[in-house]
Amino acid sequence: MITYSLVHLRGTFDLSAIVEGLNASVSYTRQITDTERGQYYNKTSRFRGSDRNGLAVTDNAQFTFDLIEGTLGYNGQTGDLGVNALVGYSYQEFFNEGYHAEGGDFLTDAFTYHNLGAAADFNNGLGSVWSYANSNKLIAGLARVNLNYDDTYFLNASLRYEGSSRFGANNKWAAFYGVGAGVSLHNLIDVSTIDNLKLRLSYGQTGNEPGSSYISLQRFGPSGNFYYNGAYTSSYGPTSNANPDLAWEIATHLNVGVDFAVLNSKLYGAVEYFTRETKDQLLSVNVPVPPNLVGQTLLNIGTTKNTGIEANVNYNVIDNGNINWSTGIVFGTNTSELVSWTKDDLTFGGGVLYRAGMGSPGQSGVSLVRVVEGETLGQIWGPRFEGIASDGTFQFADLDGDGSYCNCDDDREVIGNGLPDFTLGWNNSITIGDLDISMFWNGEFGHDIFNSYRGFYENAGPTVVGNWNVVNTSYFNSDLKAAAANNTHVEDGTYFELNNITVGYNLKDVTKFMRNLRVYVSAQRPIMFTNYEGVDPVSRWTDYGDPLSQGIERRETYFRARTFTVGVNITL
Amino acid sequence: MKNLFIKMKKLMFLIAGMIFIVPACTNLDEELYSDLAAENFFTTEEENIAALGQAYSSMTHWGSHTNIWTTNELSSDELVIPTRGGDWYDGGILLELHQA
Repeated sequence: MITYSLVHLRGTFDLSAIVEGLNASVSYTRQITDTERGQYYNKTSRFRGSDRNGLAVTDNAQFTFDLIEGTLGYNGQTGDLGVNALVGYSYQEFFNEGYHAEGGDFLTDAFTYHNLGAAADFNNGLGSVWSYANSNKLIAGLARVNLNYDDTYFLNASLRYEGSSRFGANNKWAAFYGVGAGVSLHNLIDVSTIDNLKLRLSYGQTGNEPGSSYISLQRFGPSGNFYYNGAYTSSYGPTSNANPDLAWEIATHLNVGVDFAVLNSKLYGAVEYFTRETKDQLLSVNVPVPPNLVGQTLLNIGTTKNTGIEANVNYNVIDNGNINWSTGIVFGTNTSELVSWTKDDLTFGGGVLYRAGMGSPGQSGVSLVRVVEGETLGQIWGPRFEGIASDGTFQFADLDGDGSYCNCDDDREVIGNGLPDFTLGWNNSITIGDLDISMFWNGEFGHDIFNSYRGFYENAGPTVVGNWNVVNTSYFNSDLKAAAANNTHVEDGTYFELNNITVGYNLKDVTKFMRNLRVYVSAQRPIMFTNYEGVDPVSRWTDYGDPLSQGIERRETYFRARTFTVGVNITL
Repeated sequence: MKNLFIKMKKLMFLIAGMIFIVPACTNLDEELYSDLAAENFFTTEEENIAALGQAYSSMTHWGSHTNIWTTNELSSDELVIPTRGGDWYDGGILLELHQA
C-alpha cells in the first residue's frame, strides 16, 4: 500500500508600491510517500514457501521531500524594451527511511504476514531484519534576466549557484551559467509567405549529482569476524574510500536552431544543432589497493561529447472544418564520443577500456564493450565466429595472425555499433466530423544489440549444470554444445513501431443530462517491425548504470507491455 | 511619504530576516543515520578494537575465487575449482592456475 501526503503553502506579494512591477513569492512544500508491503509464501508454495515451511516478508519505506523557495521578480516595460528578472533561493531536503523483516518456519499459514513473531526462524537465528535511513540536500541561489526588444530581439542570461550535500567537503558548490539570444527575422524582412522565422542560440551548463549519499566519505561497516576475548566478534572495516574532492559533473550545452512557419502556417517546424560536452563524469572506477582501502571509488573522470541534429516538420494537409488531417515528422541524430579518460596520475590501459563483463556462468572475464579515448562510444566487442569444432565448441578467427586464437582482447574486434544512426517519429492526427484518429509511429535505425540470452543459452549443451532451458531463435544451431559470446550474437536492432493509436467518437448533447459522450479505443505498441529476436530492440545507452557501455541486452530485460484500452468519457 | 517609509521598513525587515536565515540554509554537511564514518566512529574502545580486528578477519575469508588465498591454494594440490559445462570456466584462468 502506498500513501502520499502533500502540504503546499505559498504566499505571493505585490511590491509595486516600492518599485513598479516588483513581486515576491515564498513557498513551502512537504511531500511524503509511504510504502507498506507484506508478502506471505505459504507452506505449499513452490516458490520460496515449501523449503522455508512458510515465509513472511514485510517492508516499509518512507520518503520525505521538503522544498522551501523564495523569489523576487521584476516585470517591466520601457518603450519597446521588456525586462523580466528574477532572483531566488531554493532549499530541497530528501529523507529516506525504511525497514525490512523476513522470517519463515511457521506452525500455521493462518497469520500470513501479520504475525512475524510466530516465525520460528527468529528463535533459530535464521530470520533477517534490517533498517536504514539516509538524507541529502540541494541548495541553490539563482538569478535570471530576460530581455525582449520589440518582440524581435531576445536575450536572456542566468546564473545558478548550487550545492549538494552528496559532494566532497572541498567541492560542494558550483556555479552554472547560461546565455541565450534569438531574433525573429520575419519582423525584419517583409516576405509575405513567411509567417515565422526565428533564429536562436543558447549556451549554458547543467550539473549532475551522484545517485546516493555519503559517497565522498570514508565509511565503515561490518566485514567478517575475528577471535577476541575468547569469542568471535564482528570486525568493522572500510567500505568506501574518502574522496573529499568529489565534485559536480558539468555538462556544457550549445544549441543553434531555426523555427519556421510558411504557407499561412500550414507548414511549420524547427531544426536544431546541438553539442553537449560532459566533463568530470561521475563514474565508479577500479583503483589500486593500496594506497586505497577499497578497490572502487566514485571519481570525477573523463569527458564525453554528444553532437547531433534534431528536427521536426509539421504540415496541415487538410483543414476544411469538417475534415482535418495534420501530420509531422521528428528526426534526430546523435554521436557520442569519449574525449578523454584521465584523472591525475590514474591512467587506464593507455586510453583503452574494456567494460560490460558478460558475467556468470562461465563468462565472467569476457568484456562486451570497448571504449577508446578519442573514438565514438557504442563499440560492441568480441571474437569473430569461424566455425564449430567437432566437440561442439566455437572456433574463432585468429585476428592478430599469431597462429592461434588466444581468448583475449588481441583476437577480438568491434562486432557492432550500439548507438542508432538516427531516430524517426511520425505523428498523425485526423478528425472526420465526430470521429478522431491519432497515431504515433517511432523507430530507431542502424544500431546493433548484443543478445545476452543467446550468448549464454543458445546451444544444445547445458550451459549451467542442470539447465536445459535452451534459447531457440532462427540462429539456433544444434551442433553447438558450448556458450561463448561472439559476433553471431550481435543483431541489427533497427525497428519501427506504432507506438500509440487512438480512435475516438464524440457525441454532443446526447440527452438533457449528458453534455458530451466520448467513446474511444486505444492501443499502445500494437505493431512493431524489427528483425531483432531478443526481448526489446530499443537502443541501450547504459549498462547496469554505466554510461560508457552501450548496446547490451541483459538477461533480466523485461518485456514492454502491449496495452489495449477501451474507454468512455461522460461530461454531465 | 510616510506610507512609503513604512513599506521601506517592511522591506528592510524582510532583507534582515533573509540575512539571518541564509547561513543556516547553506549548510551542506551530511547527516549520518545508518552509515558509519569518521564523524561518528572511533569514539569508544570497543569501536577501535572492532576496527583493528579487521586486520585479522580478512585472513579467515574464503572470500572470492580471485583472492590471494585462493591463488595460493589453487596453484597447489590443496584446492581445485571444477568446471561443469561452461560454468566456472571463466576464460580458463582457474584451470590454468591449477595446471601451472
